[in-house]
Amino acid sequence: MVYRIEVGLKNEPGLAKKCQELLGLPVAEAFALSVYSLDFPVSSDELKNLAENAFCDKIVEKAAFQKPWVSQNPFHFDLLIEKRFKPGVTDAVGKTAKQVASAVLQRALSDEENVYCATQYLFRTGTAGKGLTQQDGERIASQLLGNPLIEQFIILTKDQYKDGERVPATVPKVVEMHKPIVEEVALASYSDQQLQILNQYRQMGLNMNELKAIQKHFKDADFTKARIAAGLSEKITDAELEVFAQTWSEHCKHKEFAAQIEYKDAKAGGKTEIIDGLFGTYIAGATKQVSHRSPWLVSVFKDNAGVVRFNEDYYFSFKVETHNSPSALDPYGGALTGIVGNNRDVAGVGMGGSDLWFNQFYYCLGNPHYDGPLPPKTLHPRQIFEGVIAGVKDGGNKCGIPTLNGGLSFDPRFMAKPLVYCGTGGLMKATIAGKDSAEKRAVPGDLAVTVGGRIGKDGIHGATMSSDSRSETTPVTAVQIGDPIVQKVMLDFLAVCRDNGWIRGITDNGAGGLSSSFGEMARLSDGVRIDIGKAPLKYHGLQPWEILISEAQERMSVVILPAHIDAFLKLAKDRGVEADVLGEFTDSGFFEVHYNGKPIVYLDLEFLHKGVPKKKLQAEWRGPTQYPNKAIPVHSVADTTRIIASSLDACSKEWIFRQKDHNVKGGTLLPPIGGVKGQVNTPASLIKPVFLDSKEAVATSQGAYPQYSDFDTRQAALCAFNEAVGKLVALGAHLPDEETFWSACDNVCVPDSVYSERNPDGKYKLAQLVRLCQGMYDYAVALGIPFTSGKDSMKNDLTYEKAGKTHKISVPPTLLISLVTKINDYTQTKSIDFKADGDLIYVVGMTKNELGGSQYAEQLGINTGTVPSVNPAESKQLFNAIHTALPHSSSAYYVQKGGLALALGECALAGGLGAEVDLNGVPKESVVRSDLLMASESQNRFLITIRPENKAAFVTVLQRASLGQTFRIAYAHIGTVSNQKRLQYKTLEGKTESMSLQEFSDAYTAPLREDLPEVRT
Amino acid sequence: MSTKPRAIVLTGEGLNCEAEANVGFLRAGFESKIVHVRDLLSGKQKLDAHVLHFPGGFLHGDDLGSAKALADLIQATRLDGKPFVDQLTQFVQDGGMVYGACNGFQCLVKLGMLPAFDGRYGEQTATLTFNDSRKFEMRWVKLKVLQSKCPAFQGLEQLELPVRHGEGRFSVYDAFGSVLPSVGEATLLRLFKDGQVLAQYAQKSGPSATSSPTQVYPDNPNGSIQAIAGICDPTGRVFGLMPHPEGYLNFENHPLWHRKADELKRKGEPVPNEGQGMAVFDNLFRYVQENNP
Repeated sequence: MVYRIEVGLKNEPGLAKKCQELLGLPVAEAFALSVYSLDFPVSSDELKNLAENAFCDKIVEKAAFQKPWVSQNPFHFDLLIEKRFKPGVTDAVGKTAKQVASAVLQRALSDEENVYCATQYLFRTGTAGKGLTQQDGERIASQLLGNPLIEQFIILTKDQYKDGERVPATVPKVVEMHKPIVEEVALASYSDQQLQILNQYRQMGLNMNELKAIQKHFKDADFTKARIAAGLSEKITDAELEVFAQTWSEHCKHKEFAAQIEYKDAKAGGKTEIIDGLFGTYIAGATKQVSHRSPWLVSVFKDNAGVVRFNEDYYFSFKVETHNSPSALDPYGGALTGIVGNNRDVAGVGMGGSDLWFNQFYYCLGNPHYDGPLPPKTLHPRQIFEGVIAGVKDGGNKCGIPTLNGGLSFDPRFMAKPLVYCGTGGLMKATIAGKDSAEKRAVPGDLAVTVGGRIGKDGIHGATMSSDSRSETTPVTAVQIGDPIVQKVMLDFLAVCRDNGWIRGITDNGAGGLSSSFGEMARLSDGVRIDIGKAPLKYHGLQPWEILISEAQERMSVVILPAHIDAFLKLAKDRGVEADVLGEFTDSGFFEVHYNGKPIVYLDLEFLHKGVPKKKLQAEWRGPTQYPNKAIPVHSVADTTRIIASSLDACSKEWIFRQKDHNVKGGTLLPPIGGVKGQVNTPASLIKPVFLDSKEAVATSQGAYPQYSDFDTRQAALCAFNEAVGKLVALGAHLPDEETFWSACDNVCVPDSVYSERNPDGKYKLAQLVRLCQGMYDYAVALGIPFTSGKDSMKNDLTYEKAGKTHKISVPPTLLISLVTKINDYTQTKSIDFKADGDLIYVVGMTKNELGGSQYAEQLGINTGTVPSVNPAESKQLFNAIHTALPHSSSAYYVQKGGLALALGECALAGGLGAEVDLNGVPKESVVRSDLLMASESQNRFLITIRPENKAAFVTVLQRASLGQTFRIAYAHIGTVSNQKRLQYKTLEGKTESMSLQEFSDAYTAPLREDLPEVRT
Repeated sequence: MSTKPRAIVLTGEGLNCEAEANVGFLRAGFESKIVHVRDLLSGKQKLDAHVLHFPGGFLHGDDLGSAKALADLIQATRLDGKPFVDQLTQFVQDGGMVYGACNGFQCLVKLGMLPAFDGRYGEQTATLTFNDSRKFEMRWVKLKVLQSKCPAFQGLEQLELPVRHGEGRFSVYDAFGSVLPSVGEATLLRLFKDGQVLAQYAQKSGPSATSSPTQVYPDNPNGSIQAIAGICDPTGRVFGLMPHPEGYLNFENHPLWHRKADELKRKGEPVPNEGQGMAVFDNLFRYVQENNP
């Protein structure tokens, strides 16, 4: 028997408003009740105690437990919707409720005795007689309340309720009666066709070459003999097939980034060049080129995150991941697991992991205000927008990690496939227990231990799915819901064990689950033997292969010295953290997995990790996209500013950042939004370790220009990188030297770039990717900034059938550059806000006629002109000059996306001060219109204010920086800061125009206001 | 045992401000350590300090409502045959201080350690519930500090501190709750009359930048009744507030510190090192030192 406790009521005005505005329903009020269903026997006194004391805040809530809340407290409603999880979906509240129930009842509850949580929503119409129908309820449920992939709904209208229909007292318990079995496949005898069928049937996502390589391996006589000796047969098991599918997935092995590419440049007379892997050539290649100048590099590309030296005592770890496919299916869950998964990468670096220091995000999305037709099987961009924001918010806030910075780009193509980037920085002691903390170690006899959440079917085939195009048959098991608090508690526990010196190696369980974590760490000692029958399960009925590859969240795998295992397990028990010894490390050369003593996987580590055949791909460059020369209609300076400021890319992100804690941990020194009213986006953020008394800090920024990719991916990459650096320089950073680290993370998201019949423009798309990589290589090498980690995400397309035809929407190739650098004295940094009446305003750098892909052109819907170009050598000269000049300045701003129009507006609004500027003074090349001058997105420009008495010193620095150089740094005094709250421009056309700060602020804050309330609470 | 003032900062179960709170105590001069809440409830860690701090966090992920699960678990805990709440009460009666910030404050209120009229510790008479905005919000607020019984706020008139919460609306009754409005009103009156209100949310800007309490969003970030931001018990030794003093230990934690520093430099005045939140820790240190010679 199931006992229901209903607690409430919570008014939900935001939900009512959405019902009216988004669905056009006559909902005047909405309310929510929390429902706890106890799936175990309790006495009536116990039930009353739990309901009225444990689960209810008496001051503001009432509990009902004998009859429904709405009957016990006569309450008029027109529609009732109860939202429950589907079986097997993480129910965090239910788990906490069970823990509380067990303590209150003073008795242990078994794995079968659970509490299930649900939410009951009640809706009222404003006017009597106007009701709500079952269909209305279905719309509210699927569009506003949840996601049918993971949740189920019970909908009752007022009349149904009057007729005696009630919400059934049932629970979404997982009941699976499957007997665990291990299937075997006689791979050696398979035909090509059979291999292909097997590949599809098991959703392995491998190609024929790869399948045949595995087949060949299984024909090897010595290997077969060893398998038989190990208790297996010559046949491959389903678990082994899955291990290959995971380990050799694009997600884990980056086969396309490692592929040999024949790159043909049609622009250069068909010249052909062989590129031996994009990753090796351009990314690791760039780092290798600059490593001799970067003595602070500690561990790059080989671990879960890149590690550099912060100071004598501490290392800094950095990693940015994407979680695109899961976020398309379930934006909240996808983004949540994106950020907490990325946290595990940083917490899984080195010997015992880094402490998490800050989070960041970047979203590429469709317009949340879009009201046209949607591609099939696609959520509305507003749902994705709200879901991913809520997911990253909960992941950071609940784990107590400040969200330090973030950004957004919008393009209609991101409706089909959103890009969700999640970044994390961490700090760890350089030496732990006398050892270098960046090195993982394992020797035979060390124990293989898993820690954290239990294993369910969540996220099965996540790694293979994210490597594949989205199609209408994408399985729902790919969705995972995280429980950030379980992870927080686990990581707190692991930090203590690390500091005690008990952990010798650590890695997270993300893509590929145990198969990847132990399969990888096995390389430390050259072998591991685990028994997954010892792994903790959420429910019965999982097949052994499912246990092995499940991507259930909040789990880490660790190497523990046998001498410390008792202390480790004891502390885990004390802290309420699940920890299980699965086996031990060996030097057998094999990845060995047993299921309750019976061998199910026996694979040669060498082959598993190095046997994947290299792909060979073709790329063909046909030159940048030529857009017809279209005229941009003329606008006044004020209108130009309004158009840009009110674009989604440029506008204030206050609404997003207010929901994300950026002060927790006490180290944040420049939050993501600032200015006197807290509305202005901060281009680069600053954070210190709270426990250090020194003035050391790190600064972080991002750069991304998907808009420019349509023109030329090389320039898009250069601009993204250059802008990220420029923003840090404006803050006070200086380019790398022997003391000061820079850590760059590259995240490349591209559409399917492999040529095939189904992907006829694959060669061009691959050429776009090649040029993007060349751009970032050239820049990194010129500026001496190494990549320390990164991640590529291929196949960001949506394919669907419509009217018998195949359609495809591909995202623009998108590179996100995320940078972190050391600031030695944060009291010397600068902010962007105008500081005082009478300060002089300078523009440094040349404004060119570079309007292609600009916010201005995009907002007007015009593809024309050229995108900004970057000469890295000039960047370097300019950035060094700015760094030297900065001490003489009052404020500094790197002119970014949105151009001078946005720059002047943001600096003025941030300071609550106005400005009088003469646009004729702005250094410019072939720009003859004021609107184009204001909107141009030319790189390498700064807007700087100085006190009048600092003029001579400031100007001298800039002049000296050009002495003896071919590149002359242009600069000009263009106006003055004023305490009139007004921006006043003398235009190139000889007019005087002005706009009040309020007008700017209205435009700047218009797109993302309170009108978009939170979806989930 | 040394005579230096000692603090215990709790951690675990989702608490997450222990590191910076610990820094605050250490900087003020305390001997301070971070202790897992389970070790306190199991008796492994004795209450051998002058201050017990429940810091901010996301206890149990706010499942069941903010801090409700820990309050329930503490209520259900017995140690050496006695309810843990009784031992906590004894600790306060013996002169110990219990301080909650944000999530820690929510826990103390839901546990009934605050406001604890007539020393009725363990009986809940107020709550902290969902912000009127129905959102988690992070913003800086101005506080008007009242003359209260709490030694940690003595001598302060106003403070600027960050708030970061989704459930910070101080409430004593509600249309859907079980408390009669008359009872709630009496609670409210008594809090003010007896000097149990520490601070109120005050107007932040506008022409008259005075410290008047406000019900207007966002200066009052959550809609707390009477703009109440923090309260104490009748002894003044148990206290809590929603804003985060430990979030403003350094001058440069303030989002506008560049402006403030620039202004001071233009006037030729020195730029301070400390943030306003340190005042709470310094006051605590002084009080403990003076009262525990």
